[in-house]
Amino acid sequence: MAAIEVIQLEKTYTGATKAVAGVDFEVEPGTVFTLLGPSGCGKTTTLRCVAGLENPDHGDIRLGGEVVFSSADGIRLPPSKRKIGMVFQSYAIWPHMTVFQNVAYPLRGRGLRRTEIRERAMEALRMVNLDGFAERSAPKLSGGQQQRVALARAIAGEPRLFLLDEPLSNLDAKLREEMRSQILDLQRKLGVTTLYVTHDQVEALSMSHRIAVMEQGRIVEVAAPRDVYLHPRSRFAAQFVGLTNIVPARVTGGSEGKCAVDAPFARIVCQDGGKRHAEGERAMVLIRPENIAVSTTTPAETINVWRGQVVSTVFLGEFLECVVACGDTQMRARISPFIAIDVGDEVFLQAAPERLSIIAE
Amino acid sequence: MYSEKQTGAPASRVASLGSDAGARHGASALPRFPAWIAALSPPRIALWGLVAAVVYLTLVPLVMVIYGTFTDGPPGTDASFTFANYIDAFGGEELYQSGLNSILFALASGALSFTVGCFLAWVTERSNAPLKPLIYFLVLVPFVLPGILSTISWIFLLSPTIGVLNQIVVATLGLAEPPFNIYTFSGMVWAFGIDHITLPFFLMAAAFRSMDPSLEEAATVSGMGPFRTFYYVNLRIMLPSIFAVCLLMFIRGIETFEAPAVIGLPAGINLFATEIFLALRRAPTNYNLAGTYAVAYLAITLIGVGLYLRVTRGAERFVMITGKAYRPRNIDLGPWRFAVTLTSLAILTIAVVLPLAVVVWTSFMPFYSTPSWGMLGLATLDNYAAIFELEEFYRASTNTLITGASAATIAVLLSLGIAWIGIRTDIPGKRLLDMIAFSPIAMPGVVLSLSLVWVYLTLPIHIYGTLWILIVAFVTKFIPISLRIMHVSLLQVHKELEEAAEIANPSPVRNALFVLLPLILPGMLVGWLYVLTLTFKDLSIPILLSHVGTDLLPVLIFGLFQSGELPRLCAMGVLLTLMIAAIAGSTRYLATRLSVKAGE
Repeated sequence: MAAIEVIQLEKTYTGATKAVAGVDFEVEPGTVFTLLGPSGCGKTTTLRCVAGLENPDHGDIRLGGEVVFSSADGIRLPPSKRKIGMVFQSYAIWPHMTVFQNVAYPLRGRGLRRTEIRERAMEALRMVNLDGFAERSAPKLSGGQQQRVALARAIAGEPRLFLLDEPLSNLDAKLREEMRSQILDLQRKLGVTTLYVTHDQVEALSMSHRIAVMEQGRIVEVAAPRDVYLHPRSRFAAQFVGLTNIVPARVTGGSEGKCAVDAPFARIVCQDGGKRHAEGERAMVLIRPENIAVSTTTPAETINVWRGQVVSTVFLGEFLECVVACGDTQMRARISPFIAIDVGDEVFLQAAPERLSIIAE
Repeated sequence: MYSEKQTGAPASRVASLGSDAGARHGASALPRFPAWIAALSPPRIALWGLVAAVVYLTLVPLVMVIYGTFTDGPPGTDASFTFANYIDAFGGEELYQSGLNSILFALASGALSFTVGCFLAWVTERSNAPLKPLIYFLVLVPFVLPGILSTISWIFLLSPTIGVLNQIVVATLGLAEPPFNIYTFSGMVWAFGIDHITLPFFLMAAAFRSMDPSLEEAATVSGMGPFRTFYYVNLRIMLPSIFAVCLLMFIRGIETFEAPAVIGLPAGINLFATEIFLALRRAPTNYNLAGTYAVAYLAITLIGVGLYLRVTRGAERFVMITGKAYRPRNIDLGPWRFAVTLTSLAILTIAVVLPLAVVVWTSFMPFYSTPSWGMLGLATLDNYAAIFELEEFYRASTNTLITGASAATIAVLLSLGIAWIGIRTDIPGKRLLDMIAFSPIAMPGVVLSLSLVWVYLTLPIHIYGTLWILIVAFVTKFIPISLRIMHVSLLQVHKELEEAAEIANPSPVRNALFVLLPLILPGMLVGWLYVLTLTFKDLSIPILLSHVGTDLLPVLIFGLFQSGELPRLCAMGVLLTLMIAAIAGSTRYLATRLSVKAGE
């Protein structure tokens, strides 16, 4: 049974367009499921609907088989009855309480003994390595520590579901990386089903079992991180997750999982992604910049070799990014910074067919 | 669906689909209450409860007084419909004259307070003039002075017969006639305008502070000189604030009662506020005619408030509540900075120190006299001793405290509810609630009091002549102000703090008590104490609603003024001012302490 089932979810804010326009997804128990998309795509609204903080207009939400929201049956469980833990973007640490009081709050009013509350709250603090900070005043902690308090508070009540709303967006780059692995560790240790919302592709790719890419209130693609990046099935996902050269083309033929197309500047052979494309069909070839090799001499390979002229180069440290004009099409490539090329150079581009994907237009 | 598979007949398919849909609809509709009951979630119940309370407090009095203007009998009697009141009111010349006077008075005094307040705000916020803390402190002082006392102090200073400044100038310059006369239109404008520099000072200081200095720097970098920068950048950005502050001062001037009553009445210059006051003091009292004046009066304040809301639409309703505060660059005035400080201190000496000094001096004198070294020997505590023996003083103090504290409590709780619904919920109707609650800002105290007389002499709720009617009046009058304070303090509590509690704990009571309340408490206290000080200073409401036994301190002071017991009046005024100062001081102290504790 799925840990989360969201069916035909719709939500419109008064006087605005649909924030969520028919979202469906399921999350397997114990996994991390990420909603990834640009701001305003409805990912946070979806998460808030699952939490019960937002009242959807339409749809069903089931957590572990239990219906927590259903527009047809008029069911709406309040957030506290959904057995969830949530980490907010602002952390939402109560400033008038100590660290301990923050973490112990979800345990109060449940008929637990004082000693038991203390034990469980301290255990949660130990999990995030903050047991030494229990009596500190919460707002005096650093950003990363506040984040950990928020995590501890979310897990203290032993939720069946863990909701994280852009938890790392307020941290600086270094700390973000550290917290990413800490959240991941915690999730793997507790094995708790997690719904994660972010606009950061690195977070999504590194933390999730599955990623749902959202655009304008809809999920455009759900897949494992590898597939989302390496074989995107939609133009939006390809453009939003990482950089992609998108080349319009027409299918000319294909065999054995390969597909041949006519692009404006050359003939391209690419993987067909397990789907046959009819001859004459209009399609788009997706080529990641890091999968293009650039050389000044004729390469040994014969397939997918294109000639072009270097239009611009930018040194980015780990690699050199260059734009090469192949006819009227500009291709972006990321190559080793040790390869010496200059603007105006005639170069050869080469890309392995199995690293290119094709999607229907 | 099932039957379709069994029979496969098109006719039964239609029928089964129809019955299926009907059954589903019935199943979901059957256990439900009617839509309007099902829609009664706790926030909705609270919303409509608050709407009812606010409508009762604001709209009912208005409707009653308007009703009264179309009848020919006093409140609570059987009366018949008539236009006679309007014919009387608009047929005579008094209404136009007093209306014109009111508008001119508000414009002139508003211009005076704005100019002085804006200048002092510029000195403390943008210049490098020395002694800024002293300037800041002196500007604060008028805030704790009740209007009745400061108005009377200007009579002590500028009256042609007993005015201290007149006597000094006549003596030193050897003039034949006293140069100043407070009992003129300009005297009244001066007394009110110079006493109300604190509000424009704070609002303009906030406007100066909330201006991003990088905007100015950008103008300088792109080659604009200081004057062009001021004209094209500073002035343009601050224009809405300036206009809003001016309108606010205009509204304050239109609705004020103290200066028109204390200076205008003896001078024979009537304003709207005093015209209504006189109509009610005449025997036999014509409540209907007074109400008609009040309606005309309201029309003018409504225009002011309407304009004000238009100007500040989109932004916060009070300019002081702009979110971000910058630290603007101070302008180096060079040697002129000393001149600027001297000018500021001279203004403040005239506006603040002299009025206060003459009141304190008189409170220690056996009889009213011009201050001199010779008189200092006669200084006595007799006036204070006499007041402490006065039974009325204790009664009025208790009354003032009880009405003030009750009104502040009710106003803050109501406005907390209104602000919470306005900020945290998405219920349709919340804007209406906010608007109705803000509407008393257009109601001058005299009009409000008259309306309440109409309500409680008509409805079978017998609170006329008790402290309750004063409490009701104060709550109505000050709800717009406590609402703004609660609105701001609630905005500072991040929504997610409450949502985190909603997820963590199922009990709304526990969440409200342990999470929301501690976070909002500083704001509530500040709002409570602020409303309390306002009730201590107001004369326009108790002058019409207090009776023997329900006197408040400002009314007692007004009574002493009318009977000419000036030294005692001053002693009581000093005591009242000390009380207000104590409340205001503890507000500041608590506000800073609690906000430090809350960590924000």
